[in-house]
Amino acid sequence: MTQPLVKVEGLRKLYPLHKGVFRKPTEYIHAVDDVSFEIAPGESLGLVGESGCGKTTTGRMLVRLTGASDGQILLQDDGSMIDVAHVDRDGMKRFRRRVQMIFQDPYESMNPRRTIFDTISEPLQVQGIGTVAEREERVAELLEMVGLIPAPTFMFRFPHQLSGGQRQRVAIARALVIDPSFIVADEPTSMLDVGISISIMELMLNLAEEFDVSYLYITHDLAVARYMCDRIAVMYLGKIVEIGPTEELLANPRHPYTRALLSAVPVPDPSSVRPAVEIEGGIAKAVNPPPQCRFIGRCPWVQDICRRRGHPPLEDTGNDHLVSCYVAKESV
Amino acid sequence: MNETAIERNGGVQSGRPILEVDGLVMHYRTKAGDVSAVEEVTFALGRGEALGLVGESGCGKTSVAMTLIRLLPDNAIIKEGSVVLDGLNVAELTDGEMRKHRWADISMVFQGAMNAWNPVYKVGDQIMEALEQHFPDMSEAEGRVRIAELFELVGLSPAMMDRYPHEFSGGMRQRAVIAMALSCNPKVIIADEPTTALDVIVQDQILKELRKIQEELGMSIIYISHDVAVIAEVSDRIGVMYAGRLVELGATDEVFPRPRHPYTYLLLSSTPSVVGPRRRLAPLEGEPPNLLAPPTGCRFQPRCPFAAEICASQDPPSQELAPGHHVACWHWEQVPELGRLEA
Ligand SMILES: Nc1ncnc2c1ncn2[C@@H]1O[C@H](COP(=O)(O)OP(=O)(O)OP(=O)(O)O)[C@@H](O)[C@H]1O
Ligand SMILES: Nc1ncnc2c1ncn2[C@@H]1O[C@H](COP(=O)(O)OP(=O)(O)OP(=O)(O)O)[C@@H](O)[C@H]1O
Ligand SMILES: [Mg+2]
Ligand SMILES: [Mg+2]
Repeated sequence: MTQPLVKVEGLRKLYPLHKGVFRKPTEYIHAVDDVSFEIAPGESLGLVGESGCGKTTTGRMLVRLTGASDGQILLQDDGSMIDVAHVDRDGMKRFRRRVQMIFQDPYESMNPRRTIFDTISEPLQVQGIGTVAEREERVAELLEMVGLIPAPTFMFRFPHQLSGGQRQRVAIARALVIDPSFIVADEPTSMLDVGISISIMELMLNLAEEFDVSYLYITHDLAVARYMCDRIAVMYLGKIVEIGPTEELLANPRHPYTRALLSAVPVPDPSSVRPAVEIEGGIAKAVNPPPQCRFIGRCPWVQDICRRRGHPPLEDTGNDHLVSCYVAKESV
Repeated sequence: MNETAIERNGGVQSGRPILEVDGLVMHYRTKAGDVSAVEEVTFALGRGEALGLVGESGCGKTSVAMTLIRLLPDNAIIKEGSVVLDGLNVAELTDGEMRKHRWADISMVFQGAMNAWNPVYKVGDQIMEALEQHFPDMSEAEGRVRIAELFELVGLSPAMMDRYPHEFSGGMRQRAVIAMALSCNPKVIIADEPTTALDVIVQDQILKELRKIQEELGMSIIYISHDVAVIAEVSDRIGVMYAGRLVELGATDEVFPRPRHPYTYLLLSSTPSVVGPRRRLAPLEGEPPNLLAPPTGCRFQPRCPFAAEICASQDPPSQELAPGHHVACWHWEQVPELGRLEA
């Protein structure tokens, strides 16, 4: 296997729950709990899972917007793996150029008082790339690529003068403007209709093919993950519970949570009846979770072994397909 | 509110519609000219009915919603048309009068509502404020009970009400906004992309809950989504928008198997799926319309596979093909049968 572009090992994020201002916290939200994976150059890894399971927190740690409580994030640079927690100032500037994030909430990367041109060209400015005219040309090119056409009619508007999906596309253009090699895309097309989200996914896939751009692609939409990702990781309460090549994982979902996720996807046909969703949507919370399997409270398959032992390790079932479930492992 | 439900049709009660929108035209004034965001939109929403609005990004869905609830930016002008909510002409109300009706009679789940929260106040306190305004007699304890109920309904732990917005994940914030929109038992809810940030299991659950509340309370809902599959599941009727116009309107189980507008047809046949063979999907050919200078004649004509001469010169009027099924296209007869969507 080629050297990975990104390698994450034992990543953790705990948020203390403060009961009083001066009291020491005794409870922690285990937002991300011992997560490891690798992403190859040009590869796109999908991260799916229910709301609040830790997807955004994982993504933010990878781009260094949130500090990790534990674990390592390594990024390949000229053939060697560097620990992104320990780069110096120059290294940081380089890092910012190579790694970008598209935020779940497009407002997060926008200042309401700056025009679309200013917003998109900011990374170029920070990195000191190009003249004003060159930047304008580059911004116009990107606007067209994300379907904001004719570009000049959008360039000098303000964010509030755009529709929701148009703002989301500005956030995408901004992340692409400096040709990064790794992008954390957090629900980048959640507000876009199929037509435009397909052209944007095509655009991103082309960048992967041509320039080996890699993605951590966060989405709740399995159809989108299927279209966009080479592999999919399924997260549940801070843990990766299943990971494998896209088609393999969708054809043979092993973990009961993955199965439930698949059965809940709406089908665009009012006459079709979906099978009932096996598990209940939960208010499961990752506050000081018990040592057993995180899914135990909602699992339709629970056995004795699940109650006796700790959270199951991720184990290979063949075909690069890993699952963390005592019962699923038996059935292979 | 248990009126003997007269003639129910998927929760729809007959009688005068709760909301009537007639010939609505709304433009945004900009330096570069007028953005024609809503153009002659006409529809009615029945009591207890769920209407879905779909269409591509930038076609004017949110603009229609903001006109209905009268929360438009300064550069917006309503040029023509009327909006009648339960017998009341919304367009004629003063801002002060409208404020009394907003949230209590008509409420909205805003698109991207994830960041609608004020970061310095606890989420529960922000909902409490809305409750206090509309139920002045409600005690704080009663209010908290109500908020706890609403939180459970949307799948949030009631303990979250004492937390700040930044401690919520994106989807949790969105669920809290849904709780807020439901808090005053409005007659009409407009839900603008209410579940975009949610995983399918939670989405499934929230949509079912909304359906249940809607049927129990006889509430009416307008769902706005770019996701045709979601609209198919939750709506009694569907309205399809293209470039500011409502190009097709009809019962969901009529429009889906047999779309009559070419745009609806192309929209329905390009939806990706997790079932069936994996295929590269064809995006709609051509460029999205520039609303500063919309195409002449039919606005869809530059991208339409059936376009003929008349389409570029004359705007097709909306015709009623069958009772309740409206289409604005010169060549609706040529649109082929979709049958069961090859999913
Ligand atoms: N304040 C504004 N000033 C000028 N133009 C605006 C303003 N708000 C929206 N627009 C434009 O009006 C059109 C309709 O916008 P609207 O927000 O209604 O679209 P939408 O259908 O909700 O799209 P999306 O699915 O992307 O949210 C868009 O082309 C948008 O650029
Ligand atoms: N700054 C914070 N302080 C306290 N708790 C937090 C903070 N940020 C996130 N959390 C908690 O961490 C957990 C994971 O949140 P995260 O935003 O990573 O979820 P997510 O998987 O992205 O969900 P969604 O799909 O809803 O966006 C949630 O329980 C959330 O409440
Ligand atoms: Mg998130
Ligand atoms: Mg919108």
